[in-house]
Amino acid sequence: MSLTHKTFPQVVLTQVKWKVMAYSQALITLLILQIVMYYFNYSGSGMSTRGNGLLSLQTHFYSLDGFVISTCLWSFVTAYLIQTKDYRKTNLSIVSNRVTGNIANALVLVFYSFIATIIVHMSLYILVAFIQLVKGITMFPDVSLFNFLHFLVSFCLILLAASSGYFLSSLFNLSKILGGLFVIFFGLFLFRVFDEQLLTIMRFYFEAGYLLFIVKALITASLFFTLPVVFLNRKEVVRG
Amino acid sequence: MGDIVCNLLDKNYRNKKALNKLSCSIEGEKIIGLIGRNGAGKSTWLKLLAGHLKPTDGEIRIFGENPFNSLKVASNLILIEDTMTFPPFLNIRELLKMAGDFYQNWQGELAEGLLKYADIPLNNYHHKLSKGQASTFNLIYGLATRCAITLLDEPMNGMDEGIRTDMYRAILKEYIANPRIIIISSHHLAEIEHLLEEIMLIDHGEVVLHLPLEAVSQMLVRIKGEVNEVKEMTGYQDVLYEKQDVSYEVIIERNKLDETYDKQSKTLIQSVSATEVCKLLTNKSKGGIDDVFNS
Repeated sequence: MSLTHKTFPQVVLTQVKWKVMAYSQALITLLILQIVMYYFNYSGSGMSTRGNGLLSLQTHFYSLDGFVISTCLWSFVTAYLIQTKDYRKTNLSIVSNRVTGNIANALVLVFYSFIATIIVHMSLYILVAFIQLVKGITMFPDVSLFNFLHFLVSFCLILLAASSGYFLSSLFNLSKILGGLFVIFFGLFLFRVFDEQLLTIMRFYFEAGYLLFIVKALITASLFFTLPVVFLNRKEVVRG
Repeated sequence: MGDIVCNLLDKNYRNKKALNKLSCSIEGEKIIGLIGRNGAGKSTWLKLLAGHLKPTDGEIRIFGENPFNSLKVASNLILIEDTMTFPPFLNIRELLKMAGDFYQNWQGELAEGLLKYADIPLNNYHHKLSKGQASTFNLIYGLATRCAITLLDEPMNGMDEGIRTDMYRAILKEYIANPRIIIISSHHLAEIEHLLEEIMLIDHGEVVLHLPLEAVSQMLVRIKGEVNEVKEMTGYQDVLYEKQDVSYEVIIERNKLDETYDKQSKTLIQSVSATEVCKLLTNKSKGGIDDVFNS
C-alpha cells in the first residue's frame, strides 16, 4: 500500500477548521453570558447625579467594561477546557502530533477571541439601542460609535485571558504540582499579598498608552501560546 | 528493513515494567494476531507504535521514522481501541466528513454503508452510542481510513455475537480489497484465527513467538497413552503440559518428539491448536488451573 503524505500546514489548517466547528458550543455559552450581562448593564456601568432645587440631572454611563470583563472570564475558561486531557485525547483520532495540536488550538482561540470581540461590541450597540427604544432616553456617544483602537484593546484583553487559561491548563497537563503552585501564586495576588507587584504589572501593561499595551499584550499572548508547544512536545497522551 | 521495526524496546510505568527488551520486525501487508494474557504488554506496545507513548529505552522505526510526534506515521497509521474519543459536539455524519479531510484514502461510502448495516444512525453522537455500537463505529472508522498500518486493540469489545462475526468478515473483505498491515490484539485467538497470517505472542513484555499461523499450529504435539511409553517417547524432555487421568497426557515441542519410536504403538499423537500453543507457552504451571486444586 502506498503511503499518503500531508504537510504540516495542511494538517494544522484542517485541524483549525474542524476544531472551530467542534468547539462552537463555546460561542453559544458566550451569547448566553451576554444576555446575562444585559441585565447587569441595564442601568449603566456608572451614574452621576447633579442638580439644584429645580433641576436634577442624572447621567448614566454605558461602557464596554462589563462585557469585556465577562468575556475575558469566558475566554479564560474556554481556553482552559480546550487544553484539558479529555479534549487533547480527541487529537488521537485524527492526523495530529503534539505540535500541530497545540498550534491549531492556539489559532482556534485567536479566532474565537476575534469573534468574541465582535460579539462584545455588538452587545453594547444592542443594549444602547434597546435602552433608547424602551426608556426613550437619548444616548450620546462618548467617543465615536466604533473606535478601532478600542476594538483592538478589547481583542487583546480577551486574547490575553484566553492565552492565560491555555497556559494554566497546559501547566496542569505538564505537572499538577506546577499548576497548583501557579494557582496559589495567582490567589495571593487576589488576596492582595502582592499589591505592589500587581501594581507594577498593571503599570507595565497600561501606563504607556493603548498602542504599547497592544504590542505588549500580543507578545505575552504569543509567549503563553508558544510555551505549551515547547514543554508539552515530549508529553505522552493516552486515551485510557 | 521492515515497515515496523522494534529494537530492545523497554517501557516502564513507574515501578512496573510493561515491555522488556521487545524486538520484532514486520514487513509487507499481512494480518497479524497479537496475543497475550492480561497485562502482557499488548496495548502498551500498540500505543508505542501509534506514537501515543514514548519508549523508556530502545528504538521504534515505522516507515523509517520514530512514531512519536511523526506526521508521516500519524497519516499512515491508526490505532483503534475502545477508549477512543471524538469531539462531543460533532455527530457521526460530521465525524465521517472530518475523517475525509484528514485521511487521504478515506472511504466515506464504505463507512456509511457499514454503519447503516450496523444500525448506527448518522445523526447520533459518538458518546451517546452503547458500548457495542461505539466499538463497531471505531472499527468501521479504522477500516475506512485505509491507513497502511491499522492497529486494532480488542476491537470487538462489547459487540454482540452477530455483529462480531460480521465485523470479522468486514476486516477480511477490506484487507482483500486493500492489503495493508493489520495487527489485531485479542484474548480470543480461536475467534480470529481464520483471519490471521501470523501470530505474535507477547508475555511479560517480551515477544515469545512471532511465526506464521501454520508454523504455530505445527509447533507442539499432544501425546496420550500409557505413562512409561509416553515418557520414553518424549525422551523425558521438557514437558509443557501434563495430565494424569485414565491415560497419561503430555504436550511437548514437535521437534523434541522421538520420531524413531515404534509407529505401531497405541500411543496417540495429535497436533495442538494455535490457541492452545499460545496458552501453554504463557502458562505458569504444567497442569493449568488443575494444579491449584490438586496442590
